Amino acid sequence: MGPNGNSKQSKCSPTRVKNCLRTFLAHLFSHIGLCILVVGYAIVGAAIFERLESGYEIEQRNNKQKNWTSTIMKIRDQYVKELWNITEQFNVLYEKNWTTAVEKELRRFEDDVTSAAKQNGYDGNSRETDLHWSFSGALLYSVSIITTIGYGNAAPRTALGKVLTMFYAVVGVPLMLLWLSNIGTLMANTFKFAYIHICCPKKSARSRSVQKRSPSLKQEPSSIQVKYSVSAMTCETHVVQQQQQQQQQQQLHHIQQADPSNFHCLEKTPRAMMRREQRATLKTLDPAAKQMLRECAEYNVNMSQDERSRMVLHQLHAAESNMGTMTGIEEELSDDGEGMVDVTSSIILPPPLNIDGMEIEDYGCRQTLSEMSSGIGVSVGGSVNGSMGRTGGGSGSQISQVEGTPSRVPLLHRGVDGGPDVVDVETLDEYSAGSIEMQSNKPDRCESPVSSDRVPISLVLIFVVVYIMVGATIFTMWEGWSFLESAYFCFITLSTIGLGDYVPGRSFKSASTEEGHAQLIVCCLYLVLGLAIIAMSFNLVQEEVAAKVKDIARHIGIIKDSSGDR
Amino acid sequence: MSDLEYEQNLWPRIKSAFRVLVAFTFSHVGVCGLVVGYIICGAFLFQMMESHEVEPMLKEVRQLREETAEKLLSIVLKSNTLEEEEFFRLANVAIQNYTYEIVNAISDGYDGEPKPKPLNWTKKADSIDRKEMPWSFTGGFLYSLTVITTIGYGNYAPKTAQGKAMTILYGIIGMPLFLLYLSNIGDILARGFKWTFSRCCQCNWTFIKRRRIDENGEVIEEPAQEEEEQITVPISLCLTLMVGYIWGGGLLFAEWEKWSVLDASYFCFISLSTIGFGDLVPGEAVAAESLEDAIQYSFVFCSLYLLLGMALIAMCFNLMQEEVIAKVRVCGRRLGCAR
Repeated sequence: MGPNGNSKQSKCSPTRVKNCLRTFLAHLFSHIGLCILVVGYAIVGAAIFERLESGYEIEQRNNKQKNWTSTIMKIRDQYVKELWNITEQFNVLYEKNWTTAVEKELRRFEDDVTSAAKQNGYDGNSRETDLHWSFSGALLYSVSIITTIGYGNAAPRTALGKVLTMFYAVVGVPLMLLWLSNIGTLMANTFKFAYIHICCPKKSARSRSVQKRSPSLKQEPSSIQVKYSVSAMTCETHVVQQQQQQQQQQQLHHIQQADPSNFHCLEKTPRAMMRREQRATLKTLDPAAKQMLRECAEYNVNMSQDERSRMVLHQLHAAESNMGTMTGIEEELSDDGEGMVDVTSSIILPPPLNIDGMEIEDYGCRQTLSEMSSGIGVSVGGSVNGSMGRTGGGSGSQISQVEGTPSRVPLLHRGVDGGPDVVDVETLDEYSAGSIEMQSNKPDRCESPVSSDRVPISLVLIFVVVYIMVGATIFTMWEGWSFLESAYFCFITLSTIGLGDYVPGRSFKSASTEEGHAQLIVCCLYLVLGLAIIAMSFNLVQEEVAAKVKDIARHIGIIKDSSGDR
Repeated sequence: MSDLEYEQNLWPRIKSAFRVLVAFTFSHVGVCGLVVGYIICGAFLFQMMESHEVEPMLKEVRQLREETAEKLLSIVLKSNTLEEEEFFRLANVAIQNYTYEIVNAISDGYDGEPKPKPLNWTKKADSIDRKEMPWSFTGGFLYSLTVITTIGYGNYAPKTAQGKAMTILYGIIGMPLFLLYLSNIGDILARGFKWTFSRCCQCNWTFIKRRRIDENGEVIEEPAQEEEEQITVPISLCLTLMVGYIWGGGLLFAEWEKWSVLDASYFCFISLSTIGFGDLVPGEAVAAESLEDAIQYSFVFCSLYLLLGMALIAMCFNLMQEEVIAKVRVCGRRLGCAR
């Protein structure tokens, strides 16, 4: 915790309480805590809704039965009488005439029954003796709300139920999204780890050795935005000139070789970049970035005696001398937020450099530097449909330093040799997965060694499809649906469409038995786990998909190449 | 220009024209059109696939009717002197079975004979009958919309196997497309909103700005853009907008559909949050009266409302996220959870 409170902790009880509270909350938003929170929320919701709705349902059901029976009987009597009249009319029975007349009557009878069924809301399920709003049914209901699936087989009929549903959803849906992002990242990391170590043990060894070679640019990517790599590069060139650091040059080389197309990010409109300007916090910069910032600021000061660069330098020095914890500076900065932003945005960088034949705009670089000092976060996405927790954050290892809020996904594109993580462009005006989940601040996430491989898309897709198939087989066994129907149900559920034409539990042995309950609970678990898997697959896949889409787009020519060949 | 040169110039021009076209398609306006077009295609597709299902059911029911008539005939013919009571009793049994079968058919989706009753399915009849049948174009449209937005009401659901398979394919392609649309539109709307908001704020601020310059005596260059971008729209405004939209929609639907205001707002909320129970769906109340125009308007309005509403919500998220994250961070820091 903070450096100050250590000695006084044992004495001062409010401090101790605060600390306890802190640890409690920290754990609360950790993995297990969230799980428990979500499960608890679902169960509480189930209990509440059961209470509210089951009484009403029983009453309605009885009424409906009575209504239906009486209506049908009335109609039947009426038509039988009609038939009798017809029979009487025909003194001499001509079969054909009689049959025609009878058929006409039957047809009208049919119409009456149909319209009565519609009015009564009777969908013909007289065999359905089980209540929708048993506890397990209510559990399925609350799960379907917070995951936004929304089957609709059980829907609240009381006014209070409806109001409560709305409030329940308003709290539950973000909670679910949060949990999904959490679990998604965790599972993605596990998956990657397993993939690396099982499938490609050689490469993992190689990547680790590369890590050792390049300590200055940390392997663990801090959450840095696109432009960092470019600004790093431009600053680096003059740094390299000044200091001739072999390693950095090597890194530079890596960056250039890895994917020169990364540099076209500069052509993004300044407006777009300014849009993402956030309150800069020095805290989020890793040492390499700070180094860059210092170099650039020094250059500025030397060249043009810029006041603001001086300020930056001063702050950097102060930061370094402050025991590693940046809270002091940060407070200063955040109060002085405006100032900080101004400072960084006006740092003048060295004149445009020609690197491998590419021109780098000075203006762009200026902007990028300003953005460099803002951290990166992943933020709640712009998709209202983010029910699946479309998890962002490419490598997942930037979680520990989530700050700032660009509205787009920061994508990390790994260099060929496991070199520094070159940040790729996320022109997400073109790319759909603009929505990312909100990462809560997790303390000290120790990430698995970042690999140079990405998990191939095909593997992830196969995994998802296998999961759907497994679910389909389960439901075929339990529900008596055909395999296609079960697969269709799984798809509709996991995509959160949730039509509700197939709902598990209708043909359970009996929802009130132990077995029936267990089956319904297993359904809920399958549902939730499936969503987590989908979140994980989004997490794993989106970098590649974005890169591929960009490649295609560039190939077609939507995005103009920065190299200028058009 | 010789012919050869002209040809050589033509090809790159075509290519660039094509590029422009594709770029436009994936641009802001294009994506809207793409989404709408996709939904319309889906509507046609599903209508085609699902309409066939009704025919076999009709045949079944007709057969049932004939059988029942024969049964009754046999009852009548059984005895020369037929008592009324006996007839009633026997006929009741026959009709009971008939009722049971009809009700089963209804639960499977049978909707009664379409009226006016055509015994021949000619194209002429289609224009009137199709609208009465369960899978009309508007029904298909709403269905496609609910699939790609993942709302999924369920009042229409595919019954045929190919309809189901088609739904899966349609969803896999349509959902990312819709996400693209949302992010695009949300972006534009957010920018527009911010711009408007900042303009409104600037009217108040220009006064202050001038004073600052006067005091210092320097010319402090403060480009307007900087101010504009730093303004974040307050969360309360975004929330008010969302709530207002839901409530407004509630009022409108209550008016159109003869629901209560609570029911209508509940419907709007459930739809816009993509939960989509389907217990309340616009157009059903009107369908009973079989006013064709009214059905059309109702569906069209509902679709527009949903598309616009989701874009608005995307916009609000876009605007709110910065502030929300910042606030959460501050809270977290204060509590000491974050480092």
